[in-house]
Amino acid sequence: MIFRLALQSLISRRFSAWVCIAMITLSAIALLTVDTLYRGTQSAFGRSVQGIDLIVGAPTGDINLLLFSAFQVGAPSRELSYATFTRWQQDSNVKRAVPLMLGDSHKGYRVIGTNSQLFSHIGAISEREVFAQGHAFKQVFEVTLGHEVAQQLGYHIGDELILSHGLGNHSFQHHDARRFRIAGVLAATGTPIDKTLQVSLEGLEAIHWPPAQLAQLPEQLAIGESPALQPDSIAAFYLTLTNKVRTFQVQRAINQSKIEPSQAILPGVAITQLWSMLDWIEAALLGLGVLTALVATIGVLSTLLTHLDKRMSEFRLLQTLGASRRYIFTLLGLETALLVTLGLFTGVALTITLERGLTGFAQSQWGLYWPLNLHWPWLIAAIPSAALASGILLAGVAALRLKRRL
Amino acid sequence: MPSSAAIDVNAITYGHNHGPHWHLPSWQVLAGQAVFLQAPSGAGKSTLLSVLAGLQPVQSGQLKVLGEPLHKRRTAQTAPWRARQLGIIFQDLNLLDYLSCLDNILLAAHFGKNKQPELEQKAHQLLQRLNLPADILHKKACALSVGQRQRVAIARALINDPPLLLADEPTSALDDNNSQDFMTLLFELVRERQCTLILASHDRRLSREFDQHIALCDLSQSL
Repeated sequence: MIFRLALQSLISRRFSAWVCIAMITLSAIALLTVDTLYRGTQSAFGRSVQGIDLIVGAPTGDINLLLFSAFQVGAPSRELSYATFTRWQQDSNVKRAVPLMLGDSHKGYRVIGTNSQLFSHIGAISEREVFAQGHAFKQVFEVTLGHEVAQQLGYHIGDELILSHGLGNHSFQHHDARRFRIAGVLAATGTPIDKTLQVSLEGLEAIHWPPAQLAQLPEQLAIGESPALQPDSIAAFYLTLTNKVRTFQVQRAINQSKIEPSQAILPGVAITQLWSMLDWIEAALLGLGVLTALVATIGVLSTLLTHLDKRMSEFRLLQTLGASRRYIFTLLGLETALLVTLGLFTGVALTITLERGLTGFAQSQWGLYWPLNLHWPWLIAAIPSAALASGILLAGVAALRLKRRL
Repeated sequence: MPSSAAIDVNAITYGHNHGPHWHLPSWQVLAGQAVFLQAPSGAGKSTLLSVLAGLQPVQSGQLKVLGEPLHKRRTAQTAPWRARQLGIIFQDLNLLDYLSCLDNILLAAHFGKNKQPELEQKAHQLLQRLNLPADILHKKACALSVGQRQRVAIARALINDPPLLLADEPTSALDDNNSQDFMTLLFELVRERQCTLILASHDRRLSREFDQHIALCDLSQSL
């Protein structure tokens, strides 16, 4: 009977009940989304170095090497000779080596000088097509664009662009002696690659030649056709090994190389170091989630408590019929618990629906991976616990307010 | 106290914490009697009925209702007793608007822990007896007229077959014809069940069929 009474009472006050449910639903969506964003960021960080066993550069800090090579943040303080890259590229333990040349940009977006191995690497870790449009650069003066660059700057296949010297948003020195023709646009990956332009090592080397020498190069020049365009140095390179068991062995060999001082880092370890430096973000997101839940709780409490005065005659009638105070407070607690349960379930259901509906769209449009990974046993325990706690809280507050009036 | 006394009052003082107080020196009502308690509005009729129902404490003296020493009980302790032993009809706010008539009636049975079989059928028979149509049982209370609500309130008060019925201005919201019908039905049912009735009203015209007619001002003194 008490359940029917609570349900009928809520139905009779359906407007305020819906407002309460909406508040709880929104706070549940906010909490789950904050959690998802945090996991998504972690996942994006992880995916940025997925398939890379070692990152090699000139000796510097682990995190600096990770940041400029994998996340395009900061710049290398020194470079590594191209000979070192080719030596490790040819090592029998190496399955794939991706060179990285940095230092130029286009309208604030960084340019990576690399080779076709970068696209092989993206293809190996992605379950989708590497290119949304076009193909990899085959000519020295061809460029491919990350998904976000193409979208933000509105470029299409065949358009031509000029690269600028330096990494800032506003460069005063443009490599305008040669234009690069867009050959392809990468599919969204949800990694920093989306915000870069990729050209061949030869192309990047060529635009740094003296103008007179550059002018002698033909417009159509296939990659590998001119050995003179081979760079002397690069910023870093990624290594994917044939056998991961040999990772530490190769890392040690690189770090102890007598030929050229170099540093190899394990990207997963460096990311863990980075996350431990950024653990305040996790705390801030958690705090945000708790704050959202707190605001919803106060909102629901204030809505329900506002109704207490209006419901005094109802409580007195119940008391006259023989209801104890405990029964009345249990009824109030049950009503609150019902609202919270309904709100939380609606919140979870809506978040799942949003995730299912938007995952494909978010991935293709923004490269945003939405890893909504609900831990059901935890959720099944958390929802009734939250309902019970809020029910007890409301019944307690109501008991304090009404104890002299009932 | 004679064994047949439904109410036995011995020098009680009662009233609201921050309101008027009354002293009632002595009063007895025998089981099965119908008592008409007359007083103008604001004279303390509702307060006395609340005290008799155990909803308000007596501040001094002794009060036994159906043998229950209410002067020894805190109001919170009287709830189960009230649910089983009393039927109460108010002047207004008799029913919970959001429940159906049936649920309003069954609510009293629920609190009275009335496990009688076929309670629903009993509610139905009571409503029939009160000249209410059968389809009213599942209508929400808010959809009823004032007269219908008062009759449903009688059915609810009687569902547990209580030995004592307290009615507080039950006809105040009814017109003369409905008021007379209501009183006739109430008396028929009270006599059938041989229960004690205390009806408080300011309207002397209702007092005709009662065994005892008491003016509250003769019974109690305002302090």
